[in-house]
Amino acid sequence: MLEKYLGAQRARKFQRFLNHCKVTILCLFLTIVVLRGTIGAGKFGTPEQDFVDIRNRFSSRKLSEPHRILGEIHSTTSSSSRSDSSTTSTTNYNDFDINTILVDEEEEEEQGDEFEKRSSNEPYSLGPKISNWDEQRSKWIRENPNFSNFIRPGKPRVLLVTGSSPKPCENPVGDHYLLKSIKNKIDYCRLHGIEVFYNMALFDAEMAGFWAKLPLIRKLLLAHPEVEFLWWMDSDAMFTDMAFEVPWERYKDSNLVMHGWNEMVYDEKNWIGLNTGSFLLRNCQWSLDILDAWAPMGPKGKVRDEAGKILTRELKGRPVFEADDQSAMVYLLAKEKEKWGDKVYLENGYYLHGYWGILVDRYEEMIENYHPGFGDHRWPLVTHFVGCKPCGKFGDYPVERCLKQMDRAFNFANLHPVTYQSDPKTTTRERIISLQQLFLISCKLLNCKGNISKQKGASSPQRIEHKYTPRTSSPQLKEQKLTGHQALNLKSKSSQGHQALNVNEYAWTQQLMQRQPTTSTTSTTTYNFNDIDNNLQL
Amino acid sequence: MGQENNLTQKRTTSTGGLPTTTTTTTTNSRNRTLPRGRQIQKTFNNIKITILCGFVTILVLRGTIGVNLGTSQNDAVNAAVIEETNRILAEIRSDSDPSDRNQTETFMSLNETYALGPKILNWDTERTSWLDKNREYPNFVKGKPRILLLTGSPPKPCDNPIGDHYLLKSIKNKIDYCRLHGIEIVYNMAHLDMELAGYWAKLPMIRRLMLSHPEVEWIWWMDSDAFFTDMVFELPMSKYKDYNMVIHGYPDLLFEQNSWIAINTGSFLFRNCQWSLDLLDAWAPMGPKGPIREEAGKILTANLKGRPAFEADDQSALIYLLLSKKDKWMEKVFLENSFYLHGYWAGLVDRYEEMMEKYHPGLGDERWPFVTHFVGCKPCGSYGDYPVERCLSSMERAFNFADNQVLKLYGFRHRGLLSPKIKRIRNETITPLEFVDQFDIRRQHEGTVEPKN
Repeated sequence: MLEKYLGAQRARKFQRFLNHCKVTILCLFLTIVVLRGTIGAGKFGTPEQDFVDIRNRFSSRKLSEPHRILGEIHSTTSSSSRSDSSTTSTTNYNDFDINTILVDEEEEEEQGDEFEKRSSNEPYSLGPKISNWDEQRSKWIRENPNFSNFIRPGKPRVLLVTGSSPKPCENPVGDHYLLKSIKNKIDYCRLHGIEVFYNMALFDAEMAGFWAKLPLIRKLLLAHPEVEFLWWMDSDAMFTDMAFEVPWERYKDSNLVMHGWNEMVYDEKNWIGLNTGSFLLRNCQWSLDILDAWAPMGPKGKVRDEAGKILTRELKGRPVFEADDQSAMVYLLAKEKEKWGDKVYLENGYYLHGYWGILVDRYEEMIENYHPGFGDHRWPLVTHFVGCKPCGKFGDYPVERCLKQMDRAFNFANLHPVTYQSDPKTTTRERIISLQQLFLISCKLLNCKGNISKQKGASSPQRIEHKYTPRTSSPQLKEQKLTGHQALNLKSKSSQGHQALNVNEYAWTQQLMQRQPTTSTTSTTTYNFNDIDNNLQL
Repeated sequence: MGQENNLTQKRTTSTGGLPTTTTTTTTNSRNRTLPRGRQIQKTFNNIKITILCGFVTILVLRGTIGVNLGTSQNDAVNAAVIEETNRILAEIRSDSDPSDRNQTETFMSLNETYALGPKILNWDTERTSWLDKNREYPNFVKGKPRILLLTGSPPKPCDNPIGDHYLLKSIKNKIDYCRLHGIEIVYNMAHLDMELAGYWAKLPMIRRLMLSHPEVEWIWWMDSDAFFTDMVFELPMSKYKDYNMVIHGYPDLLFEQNSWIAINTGSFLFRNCQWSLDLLDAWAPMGPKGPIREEAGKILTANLKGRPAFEADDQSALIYLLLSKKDKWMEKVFLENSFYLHGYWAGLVDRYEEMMEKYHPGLGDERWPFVTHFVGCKPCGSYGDYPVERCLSSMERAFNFADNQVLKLYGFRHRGLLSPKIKRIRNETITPLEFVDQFDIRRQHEGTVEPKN
């Protein structure tokens, strides 16, 4: 046909030209597709997004259900909604997503918060400044003799405070370990006459994360004047010595007791010179003042980030991440030693906080050689699972090791005969049963089935750790995920290629091991093992 | 001649030129009749090229949109973490001792009788003498009897993670109530007796606690799916001074209708005395797992109204016991129904907003229920008797309803009964103690809290 119009040769040329065009267009198309796939094309999207869109369109049925459920909840209570939901909803818990029901009622938020404390322009404060708390409190205690601050001479009224998020853990086993942890604390506190406050409320959105304890502590001090000491304990810390009683007499002139070493805080300014995972705070004006001095580095956002940089610069060994409460306390004490130092007691005679890494493998040795009641390296009072973060998705340590060791610590704590309630009236049969169970538990501790990691013949620790590396796009983002607990293993995490930190992963562990207390002079707190049954029969 | 040759040559070339078409057509025609071998080879070549192109396409597509079973990089990481966690969960759950396995395989036969422990005959006298010797552990504190709240959950993680989260909220709720009312808590996570597992597990635990805590006057068992919703209400213990067991129930349902839900063993109190030990001994025989429990279940279904057919549970067994040995036991059992010692959740949870408007805490009855018990929800298992969404949202509402009463002292409340966030309801002041006097629940019951020794 073309030949008619153009002539034979030109027809040929034209055809060739057409072929060339076809090939060119094809190649161009391929190039664009490949480029779109690799570098993306802005608002035209990437093939990945296309895929996701297509997938969503086909599964749009599933999306509509949670919306419908939300709609039903928003409707005011009526029996009709109940009957509607029963016909369509599932009874299978595994299919359900909790986030569809945890909603804020919208009307409340729109009205605005009438009682919000302050505008964002003012510097942060925990609350209005109180200057005469000691007088107010002593007056109240005099007027209320039923709520005395000392239960008996030498034994102050103590409130143990711990907490966790009101939302379910991201990790499916996290809630189970929180449950075990609170049971452990309930047991210890029942034996020692301590009250427990489990917090699930975020009192100040600006002080979220590890700083959330500050507004909570202040609020509790002011609302419970009968409490003499407030004992903050992290949710990942467990009591492992049920018989040990804190030597309250030792602290009669101190207002803040933390586990740490004077040299590491005041001389070296080491960021792990003390630990704020487990500390005692007296209910007095001094404590309100130190809370006010501690808080300024806390508010989320620019303040916290800038403070983090200052802390990394000033403190020894601190990696780069936002300000955490522990580093801020070290900095505060080191900088203003004259003001605060004489009322701060850095305890290292027993494990008010015991880093789990150096303790958990020695439990069997402790069972063989020692008995509960020491509280120190022979039988630690507290085993603190720093960095494990069982509630989150990514911790600093392999999941398996963390969870297994937490189970071991939990069982180790339950070994104590008082919690095991062996009473003088047990007959032989009951004693046999309890011995049997004791044996089973010790067997578990000794891992009669063998260490899981050894048995499964698995993975070298390096491989597990590598599998567990959290993925983030930049180290800054990742470091923000770290909580105030000592963030180890940063060297392995910075495999993204950014600045290799000089932190030797286990250097500070070695420091700690060197610092283990050589002699325990606390003879007052050791109990004769046989006396425990008689004295603490609670 | 040469010219002729040239001409002929030219002619031949020209004719040679022209017939290019004809020669091609002739070659074409010749091609059409090519041997099959060549044709096959050509097809073969085409196929090769097609396959090669197809392969390249797939590679490119895989690289761009990841058509590799539909997973992207992020999902792969999440999947890995989830897989690891599930594996560990499965390990933990299956981590039963070999001795446990042996025990569960040998059930008690129908001929054997089960005993909770060696028979004790003089517990009252033993206990009184112990109390005399140990005056620092009195059983009455400031006129009120010492109460121990007992609750528990299985030692393994729940079948689904939401279950553990609500167990946590439930224990926090109980901690709050008990702190406000000076009650001690024991949270049991151990299997004390493999034969009495499941809902029967409370029996050996109650007995053990009674024997090892003689200073405790009352032991209060509460299920893990029961929430305190009235933080102010206190048990009227003076009402029960002549009784040894307090349980929520209705006399007409029990005696006239023999209904299997006439009483509820999700929340009840036992006095620490010989009578209770005897009752526990009489209650336990239907419990042991295996053929005994099955047979007992059949007896109970036959005798109790409305009971479906399943193995014996502690509630039906207790009803049967109270009915059949009425004269022996009923005079010391108090059937409480003037307040909700156990409040069935379905009729209560929707009315919380109405209650907050009209009434106030401290009533304990249908106006402001003392306990909201989520019977049948079973959040720790995989399947409940009710839709999940209804159960969980109701539990969240009950928890927040109770939490509001606790947070009131601190000047906060939840943004809504379904919201985990809180908002301020009172300004901060520099004289916080006036609010402490006003809002502290413990001070509303004069002379209540005794520091625990």
